[in-house]
Formats: sequence, structure tokens, C-alpha cells
Amino acid sequence: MNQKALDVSALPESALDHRSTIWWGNTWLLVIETTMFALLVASYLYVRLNFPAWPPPLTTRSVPVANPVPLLTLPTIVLGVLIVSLIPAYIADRAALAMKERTVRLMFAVLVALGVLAAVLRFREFHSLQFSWNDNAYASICWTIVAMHLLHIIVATAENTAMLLWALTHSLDRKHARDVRVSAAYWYWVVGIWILLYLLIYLGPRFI
Amino acid sequence: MTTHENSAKARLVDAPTPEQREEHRKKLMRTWSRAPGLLGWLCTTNHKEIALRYIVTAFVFFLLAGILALLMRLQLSRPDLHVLGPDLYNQVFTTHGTAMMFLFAVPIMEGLALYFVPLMIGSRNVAFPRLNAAGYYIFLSGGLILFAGLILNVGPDAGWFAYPPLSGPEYGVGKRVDVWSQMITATEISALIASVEIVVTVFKQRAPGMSVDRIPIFVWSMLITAFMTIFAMPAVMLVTTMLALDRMPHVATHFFNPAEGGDVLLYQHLFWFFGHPEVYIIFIPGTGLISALLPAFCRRPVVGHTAVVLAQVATAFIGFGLWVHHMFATPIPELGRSFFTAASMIIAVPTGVQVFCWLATIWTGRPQWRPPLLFVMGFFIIFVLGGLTGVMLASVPIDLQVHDTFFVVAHFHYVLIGSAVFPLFGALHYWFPKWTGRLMNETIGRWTFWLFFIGFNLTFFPMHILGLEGMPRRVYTYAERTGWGSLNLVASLGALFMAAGALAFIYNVMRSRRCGEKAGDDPWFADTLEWWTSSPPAPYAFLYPPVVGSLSPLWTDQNSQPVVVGLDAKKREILTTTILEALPDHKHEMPSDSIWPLLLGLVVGGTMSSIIFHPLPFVIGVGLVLLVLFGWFWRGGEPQVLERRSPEIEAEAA
Repeated sequence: MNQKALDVSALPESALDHRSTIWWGNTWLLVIETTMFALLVASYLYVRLNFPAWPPPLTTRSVPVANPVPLLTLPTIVLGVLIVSLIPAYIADRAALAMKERTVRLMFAVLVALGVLAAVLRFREFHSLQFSWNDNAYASICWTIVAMHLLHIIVATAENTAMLLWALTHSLDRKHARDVRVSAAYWYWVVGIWILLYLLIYLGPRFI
Repeated sequence: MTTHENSAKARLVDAPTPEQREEHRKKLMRTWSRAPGLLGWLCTTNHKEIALRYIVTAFVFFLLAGILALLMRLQLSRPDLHVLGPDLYNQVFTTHGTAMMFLFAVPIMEGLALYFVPLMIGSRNVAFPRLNAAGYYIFLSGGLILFAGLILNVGPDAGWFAYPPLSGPEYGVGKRVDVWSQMITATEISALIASVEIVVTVFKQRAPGMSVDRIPIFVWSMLITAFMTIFAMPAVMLVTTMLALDRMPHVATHFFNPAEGGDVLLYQHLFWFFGHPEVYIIFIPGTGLISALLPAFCRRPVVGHTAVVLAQVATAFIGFGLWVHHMFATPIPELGRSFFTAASMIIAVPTGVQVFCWLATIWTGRPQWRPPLLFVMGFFIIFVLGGLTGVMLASVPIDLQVHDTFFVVAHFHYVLIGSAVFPLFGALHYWFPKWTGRLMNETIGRWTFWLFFIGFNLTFFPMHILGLEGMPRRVYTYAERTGWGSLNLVASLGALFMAAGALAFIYNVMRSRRCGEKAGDDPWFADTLEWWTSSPPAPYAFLYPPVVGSLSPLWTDQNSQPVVVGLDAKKREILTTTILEALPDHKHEMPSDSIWPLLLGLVVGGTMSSIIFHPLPFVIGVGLVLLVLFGWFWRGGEPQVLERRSPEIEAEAA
């Protein structure tokens, strides 16, 4: 027979930070995703070794292009949109911590709008690569990295939309405040990883 | 415990009275059990039910893949036989290897982890119960894709690693390799889900007092395996996706097409960056099982607990640094060869540390020679032999000589069956009473062991010699003048012994679950917390979750330790604790049973099997997955029937 009991009824019912299981689940998901992108980057550099010129000359046009580096204008605009979107994500994150319902709603609306904008522009951004995905291995790896990241923008924006709809139709409780914070953390990662990938895809061919 | 702000709110009070305990039990039963009927069964989120499904399903795949092995041994038993033609033989050996790796060895260990990790750390479920259920259904769909392919004559036929160009669009015509790559994606999603479950469960849900130095070795091994999976599996998902993209008619990328700057060696690098850690993803759980069995059957804790855990960690790190030794026969730089040779030899050191710790445990303990310990002894003999040929293969000249011969087949069967299957059979005998409340028959258990042990050595030892004599792998027959006939016949007879062992095991399971000796809750007088629950465990596992005061809680003072009270029995509430010290942190409500994991499994499985034919279903699949996840996230949309309970439980709770 047990002598004593440890009464935990006075403990809080949720945690909004790294003490919650969801926060850890999300973090390990991001580790998995980061590993995948790291392997894509490794593949990019590996394929690089097979090409005397990087990017290879573009021969599918009527006038071949000798050094068809990716165009910068649109990709840089998309990068700008993504970086700006960190602001509403961060404000919503802090607002959730303070349980400020209205700020969360407003900032998630802005975040969703910026996410949709980035996704739509990203479809146009593929033209900046100048190649079609099945031209050569360089084009294949570039398209795969950009498309894989686009998939993350779409999925994260869908998640943010669900979060927004919930926030608009319910009052904010601690469980969902935690979900807001986890969604924001996921978005930080979506943007953060793209800064590195942008440097590789768009500036890389100019230097390596 | 007062140093932490939340844990300071936990107070010591008087233990509950017997009446309170009974009242509490009825409420817990109502809260944690599931609805009766088929829908309740399909929608359960109880980790014990899901994990048993993993174990049973993976075991069925083991038997199916074993039947394929018997077919191969039949075909090779005599020279110039034509039981299986070359085309069918290719499908059979590829499906055998693929199923054993992806559908048996990894998922059955995950199943054991998902069942026993929460129980051993004193928690009531895994961290994400719904995701866990979804993981099972996705795994099942992957397995069905593979075997459906084989039955329809589109079984994969390019080896379990499917190297391009053989598996590429030019030579791998038809849909066979696509079946393989979609199966990989499905099973690896499920493996990643299980790994995140294990890591977060171990991080956040350990019983109060189970600080890092009191975590059982089995739990450590599963935690380390989960870490390895998290870093290794993305590689195989990525590389099979690249292969599928190269092969898809409307996509046709050039990752592995040398004509357009692609590189087939990139495939090998990415595959083995996963494939070598995979060996340790199978082996480290085996070491965890041995470390769980030895204390119970040697009546003492494992010698060198810390050394064993650190050796497992070291194995995991070094395991990521030897993938190139699978590529010694390809043009790689001399320095690379030396580096990976050295790494391949170094990894024997932490394994040696563990083996000596276990031997010391047996030497200084009071070993009881019951079937589970017999399987551990089988492990020692077989695994050490496999490890020795591993050190031989780490040397480039020997590797080049025996590359792609039966020597390699002998080596990796010694390693994998030794390190995983023997401990696994021991563990199944050991934990059978936990699942059923009954013991397995020991006489049949001994027969199982000896049939399997003798059969294994008869089958695989001759393959060393055949390999040294030059018999290549993956050929469907050989000429009589090679002189390989008699050794092959011995190997085939050995396979019959192994099959007899497996049949004896199945008979034992079937017989013992109905009329085996009643086991009681703790038949082995073991030391870890899973034996503190009833056998089989109630859906809530622990009436009151334990507080842990030592590494072997059931051997020291568990009955004088406090229990945790104050969790709401009317909802599925658990206690979370801090990562290092396991101080009480906060209460956390687990989700209810749900239909969404099943729907997610159906959508993912349907998408994977359609992508084999056309890229478009991917787009539809992403949309459907998002819809299902939306329903999942939006609480309150569950079928009402999931709220029902069996009449007895309802009556008790009322």
C-alpha cells in the first residue's frame, strides 16, 4: 500500500511554450524538414560537380544563352514578401502569449494574405529559373528545391487559414493560443529556410 | 522539487482510500476505454491497441517475406532448377528484402516502442495519440501496395535498394519500381511519425522522479533509434521521390541521368546515407531488448548502465559516418575509402562495450535458462559472427573480392537476424503475458529456439563459403559444374528448420493465448514499470501514475513511493514533466478517439497508389490531406457513436 500521494491538481492545465508536447512535436517536424532540405542542398552541390559551367548554357531558346543565371527581380520580391510576413507572425505570436484575441485575428489575417501572395508569385517565379525542369540535372534540382518550398508555403498558409477561421469563430483559449504560437514558429522556419535556399539558388550560380 | 515554479504546486497528501480508488477506477474506465464495435475499433487512439496492430501486422509481413525466402531457397536448392523463372525470382528477392527491412524489422520495433515506452515511463498514452493511429494506417497502406504489386506481377524487381540506371526510366520499364518507391514513402512517413511520438513522449511524459539517469535502457534505445530515424529517413524519402520524378512520363527530371548532368552515384550516396543508419535503426532496438531481458533473467541490473547507454549513443553517431562502405566498388577517392574503412572498424568498439557489459551481467547474475534468455544467447553467437565478417568487409580489398557475392548475404543475415530477430523472439516470449495475461509454453519455446538457431546456421553459414567461392547474389540459378550444389542444398534444408521454428512459435502463440498458464501481473518479477500495470493493461494503464525513485523501480521501493493524484478522471488527462529532472510541470488533456486518422490513412494510401500511374493525383492528394487535417483540427466533428461505451462500463460509471 502506498504511503503518500503527490497531488498535482493545482498544476496549470497547459503551457504555451517549449514545455508543451505540441511545441516539441512541431520542432521535431522542423528538424525532419530541415534534414530534407539539407540533403537537397547537398544534391545541388553534388550535381554541380558534373557541369563545366554552372548554370549550363541554355540551348532550348532560338538564340542560345551562354550563362543563363536565374533572374533576380521576382524571386527577390517573393523573398521580400516572406520576410515582411515575419512581422505579423511575430506580433501574433506575442499576442497569443498575452491572450490578446483581436491582435491574433488581425495579424493572422495579414499573415494569410501575405502567404497567399507569396504562393501566387512563386508560381510566376519558376520562369526566373530560365530552364524547364526537364532540361537537365541543374534545372531538375533547382525546380525541385523551389517547388518543395512552395509546397511548404501552401501547407503553412492552409494551416494559418484554419487557425484564422477558428480564431474568428471562437474566443481564444489557452489551448488555441498555444496552437497560434506553434503555427507562428512553423512560419518562422518556412521563411528562415528560404533565405538560405534563395542565396543558394539565385546567388549561388553567380559565384560557384 | 521546490526549485521549479510549477512543480512547487504539487503537494504530498494522504494516499487515496480503497473506496476512492474503486470510484476512480470506474471513472477512468469510462474515460479511457473506446466505443464498442467496428467503428470504435477503427477510431481508437489507445497506444496499446495501435502498437499491437503494428506488431501483428509487421509479423504477418515477416511471415510473407519468409515464404518468399523459402521460394528462393527452393529455387536455389539444386543447380539448373526452374521453379521460379528469372523474372519472378527478381521480384521475389526484391520483395523479400524490401518487406523484411521496411515492413517488418523497423515497424515491429516501433510497435514494441509504442507499446512499452509509455508504460515503462509511467504514462497513459503516447504524446500524439491520433497521429499515432494515422501512422499505423499509412504503414498498412504501404505494405498493401507492395504485396498487391507482387500478386499482380508488378512486384519491384531491382533489388531492395533499386539502383538506377537499372531502376531508372530506361531499364526499369513498367510500374514495378514505382510500386517500390511509393511503398517507401508511405512506410517512411509512418516511421517518422512513430519517431516523433517516441521522442516527445520520452522528453515530456516521464513519471515524476524519472530523471535522465533513471530512464530504462530499453527506453534509451528507442529514443536513440527515433533520433536516428529522424535524420536518416528523410534521405530515403527524398531519393525515392527523385527516382519517381525521373521515371514519371510527364515529369522526367534528370537527377540520375548522366546524359543531362545527372549522377547515379548521387542516388547511392543518398540511399546509403539512409541505408547504413537503417542497420542501426534495426540493431539498437535489439540492444534495448537485450538490456530489458537480461535484468529479469539474471536477477540483477545490467552491468555498466551508463556505459551501455553511451555506447548506444556512440553507435548512433558513428552509424551516420560509414555509408560509403556500401560503395567501395564505385570510383570514390582514396581518402574516402580510408576514412570509411576506419569508421567501419571503429563502430565495433561501442558494440564491443555493450557485449562485454551484457556478458558481465550474465556472469555476475543468477541466469535462469528460460526461452527468452536462450534467444539472448543465440544473439551473442550469431551477432558476434556477423560482426566479425563486418570487420572483414570494412577492409576495401576483401570487400572488392566478395562484393555482390553470397558472402555479403551471409554477413548481413548474421547481423540483422542476430541483432534483431533473436532478441525480438526473446522479447515476444517475455512480453506475451503482458498482452494476454498468460505465459507461453516453455517446452515449445525451447523447440522454437533450437529449430530457429540450428536452421539459421545451416542456412547462412554455408553462404560464407559459397560467397568466397564466387557465387554471386541475385542470380536465379547456377550451373552444376560450379560445384555449389551441395552447400546450397544444406542452406535450403536449414531454411526448412527455420520455417519449422516459426510454425512452432505461431502454434505456441495460438495455444497459449487460450489455455496458457495464468501469468499474474508480473510473472518474471522484473524491474521496470510496465509490470506495475495489470496484464493485460487497462486502457488507462495506471490507476494512479507512479512516482519513480530509482533505476529499477519494481525492485527497490516502488510500493513506498507516492502515487500521482489530482488528474481529472473525467477527461483524458496526463501529467507532463520537465525534460531532464522529470519534475511535475503541467497537466495535459489528450485528444479523444477520432475518425480522422483513419481518413488520413485512406487519403495518403490512395494518393500513393495513384501516383504510381500519373503525377496528377499528387495535387489532388495534397488538397484532400489538407481537408482531412482541417476536419482533424476543428474539434467536435466526430461521429457520436465514438462517445458510447460497452453496457458494463456505462453501468459501472453510472
